[in-house]
Amino acid sequence: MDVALLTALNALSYGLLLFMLAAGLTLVFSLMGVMNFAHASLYMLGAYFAYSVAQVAGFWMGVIAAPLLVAAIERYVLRHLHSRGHVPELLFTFGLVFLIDEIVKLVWGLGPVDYRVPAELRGTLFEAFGTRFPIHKGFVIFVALVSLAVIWVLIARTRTGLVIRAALSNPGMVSSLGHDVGRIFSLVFGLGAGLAGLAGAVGGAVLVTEPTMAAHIGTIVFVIVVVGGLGSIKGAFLASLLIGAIETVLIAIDLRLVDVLRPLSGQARWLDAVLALKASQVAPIVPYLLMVGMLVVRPRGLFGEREI
Amino acid sequence: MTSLIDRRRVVIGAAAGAALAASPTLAHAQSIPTVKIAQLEILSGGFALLGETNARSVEMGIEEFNARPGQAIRFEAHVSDSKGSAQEAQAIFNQAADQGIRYVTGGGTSAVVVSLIDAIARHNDRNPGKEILYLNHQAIDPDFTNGRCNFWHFRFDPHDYQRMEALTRFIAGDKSVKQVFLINQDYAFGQQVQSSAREQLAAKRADIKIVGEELHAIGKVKDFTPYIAKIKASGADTIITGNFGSDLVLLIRAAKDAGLGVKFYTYYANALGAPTALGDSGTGSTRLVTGMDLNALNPRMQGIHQRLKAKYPKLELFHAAYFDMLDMLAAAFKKAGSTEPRAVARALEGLTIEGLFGPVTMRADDHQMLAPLFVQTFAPVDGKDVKIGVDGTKFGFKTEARFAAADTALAHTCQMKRPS
Repeated sequence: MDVALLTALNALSYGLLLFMLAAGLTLVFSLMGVMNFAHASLYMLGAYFAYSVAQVAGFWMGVIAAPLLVAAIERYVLRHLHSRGHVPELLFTFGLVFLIDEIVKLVWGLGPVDYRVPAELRGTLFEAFGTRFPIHKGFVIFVALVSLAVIWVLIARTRTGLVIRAALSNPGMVSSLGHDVGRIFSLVFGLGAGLAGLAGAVGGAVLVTEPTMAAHIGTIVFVIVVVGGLGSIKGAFLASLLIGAIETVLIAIDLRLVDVLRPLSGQARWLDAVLALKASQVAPIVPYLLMVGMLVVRPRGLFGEREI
Repeated sequence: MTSLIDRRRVVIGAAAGAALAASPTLAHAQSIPTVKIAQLEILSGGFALLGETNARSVEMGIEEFNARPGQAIRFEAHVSDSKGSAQEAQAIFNQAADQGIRYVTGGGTSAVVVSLIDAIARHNDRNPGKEILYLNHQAIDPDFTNGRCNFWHFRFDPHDYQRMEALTRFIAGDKSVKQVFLINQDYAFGQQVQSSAREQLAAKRADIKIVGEELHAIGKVKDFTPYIAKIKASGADTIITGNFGSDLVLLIRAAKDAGLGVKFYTYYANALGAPTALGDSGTGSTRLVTGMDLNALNPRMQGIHQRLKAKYPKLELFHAAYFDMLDMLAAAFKKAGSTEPRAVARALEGLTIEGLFGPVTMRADDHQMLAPLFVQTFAPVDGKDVKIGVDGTKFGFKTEARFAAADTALAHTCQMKRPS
C-alpha cells in the first residue's frame, strides 16, 4: 500500500510535467496543423531563461518571465513564415532545433547550470510510511493542473476560444467577420510556446538544466502526442499520465520478463537473453512500443480526430 | 563532412607557440623538433563537456611542457571531433596517418577506442617503419589491457577494476557499511562497475551484503524516485554507482528529497557539472575514487590549474592522466634516444617516473599504467582539508585515503604479442 501510493504520486508528478510539454505541442498542432519540432528546444530555452532571470530577480520572476520570453520567439520570428504555408514553418522549426542547441551551448556553456527550486519549495510536503514527498513535486502537479484548467477555460468557455476554434475550421469566414486570423494564430502559437517555456522553467529547476535536456525529453513528448491523438488535449493528458505511470511502475516492480512469459523460455538462446531483462531495464522502450502499437491498431490515437 | 572536421581542428601547439614567442628563453623554439599528437575527443553532443575538458587540459599541459627551459622536443596537439562515432574516428585516424602524425590520443567512448586500437594495429602491420602509437588517456574499460591488450596501445589511466579496488579497500575499512545497493547505467562501463563491486567486496568483506542491483538506461531516467523507493525498501546503507552527469545528479537529489540517508560511493562526483548540481545536498555523504587530488597539487600543477581556470573558467581540472602521459612520453623519448614509435614503445615498457602525486609505472606486460588513486568526500571548502572549490561552487573534495600505485596493481590476463 505504502509503495503503491508513493509510486502513484511520483507517476502523477512525472506524467503531469510531460503533459505540460505535450499540451503545448498538441495545442499548436490541433489549431494550426503545424508540428513544432522545436517544442522540446523551447522547453530547454524556458529553463535557461528562467535560470538567467532567477539570477537577477529570483525564482518566481523567472517562472513568470520565461514563458513570456519563449512566446516572444513566435511573435518576432515564426509569424513572418505563417503566410507561406506549412512546409516553410515545419522546416523552420526543424532548423530551430539545431540553432537553439548551439545558442544554448554558446551562451550558457556545455555543462549544467546551477538552477534549482528556491528554499521555500525544498522541504517536505508530507511524510508517509517513512518516505518524504518533496514540496517541489507537489508544485509541479499544481502548476500543471492550473495550466490545464486555464487552457480548457480559454478554449472551451471564452469568446476568444470560440473565435480560435472557428478560425481553425473556417479561417475565411472568421476573417470576413472582422477577426484578425493572423493574430489568432500568433496567440495560439504563443500560448503553446509559453506552455513549453513554463514547463522548462519548472522542469529545469526540478530536474537538471543542461544542453541535452531537450534531446532527452523531446522524443517522449512526440510519443505522447501520437498516443493521445494528434490535436487532442484530453488525449495528451491521459497519454502523459499513462506513460508517466508505465515508466514509474515498471521500475518499482521487481519483475523479469521471464516471470511473465515463462512458456517462452528455453526456446532459443537469444530469447532467453531477452527474457532475463528486468522490467526496469525494458521501461524506457515501452512508450515507443506503445506508440508503434497505437499506430498499427488505432492510427488516430486515443482521442485524435484525424488519421496520421 | 570534411569541412566540419577541419573547422573543429585546432592546432593547440601553434596557439601555445604564439603565447610563448614573447618569452626570450624560447626564442629558439623553432629549432626544437616537434612531436605531433592527433587528439580525438567528442566535441559535440552530450559528451561535449568531457571532450572539451580533455582538449583544453591537454592544451594547458602541452603549453606548460613546451615552456619549460631546456626541452629536447616540443609537443603539438591536433584536436579533432570524433563525434563519439567509430567511423568518424577512423576517418580522422586515416587523415592523421596521411599527414605523418605518429601519436594518437583520446578517442571517446569504449566503442570508438576499440575501433582505434584495431585500426592502429592493422596500420602498423601494413606499414612497417611508419608505426603509430596509441596513448589512451581516459577509456578505462579493463579489457583494453587484458583480453584485448595490444602492443601499440598504452593506457595512462588506472582502469575500472583498479579504481574499484581502491574504492572497495576504503569501504572495507568503513565498519558502518553493511548493506550495499549497486545502481548503474546499462552499458559496458556500468555493468563492469556492478560486477567488479560485487566480486571485490565479496573478497574483502564477506559480511557486506549486496541487497540490490539495478541497471538503468543511460541518460533516459528523469525521475529516480522509484529507484530510491526500491533502495529504501532494500534496507541499503550504501550505494555504489558509476553514474555520471545528470544520471548521477538526479540519483543523489532524488535520494535527498526522499530523505534516504545513505552514503554514495561514485566514480564521477567531481566532474561534468555534478558538483554544481549537487550543491549542499551532496556534502558529507558523497564520495568518489579519482586519480586527481586538488588538495595536493605541486607548484607546476598549481600553475596549470590557474591558467586553465583563467582561460576557460567553466572547465575543471579533474583528470591526472594527460599530464603523466606527456611526462612519461618525454622520458621514453629520452630513454630511447628517438621519437620513433617502435623504439618509444619499447622504452615505455616498465618505465617509472615521478608522476603528479608520486611514482607512476607503465607495466610492461599489459601496457597499463599503475598510478596513485584517492578516495575523497564532497565537502565545503575550508582552505585546509579542502583547498579548491570546483565547478564555481564553494564545495570541493576532502582527501580521505591515498592508495599508492602498487596498491591497485591488479593481476592481468594479457598475452602481449610483440613485433619481432
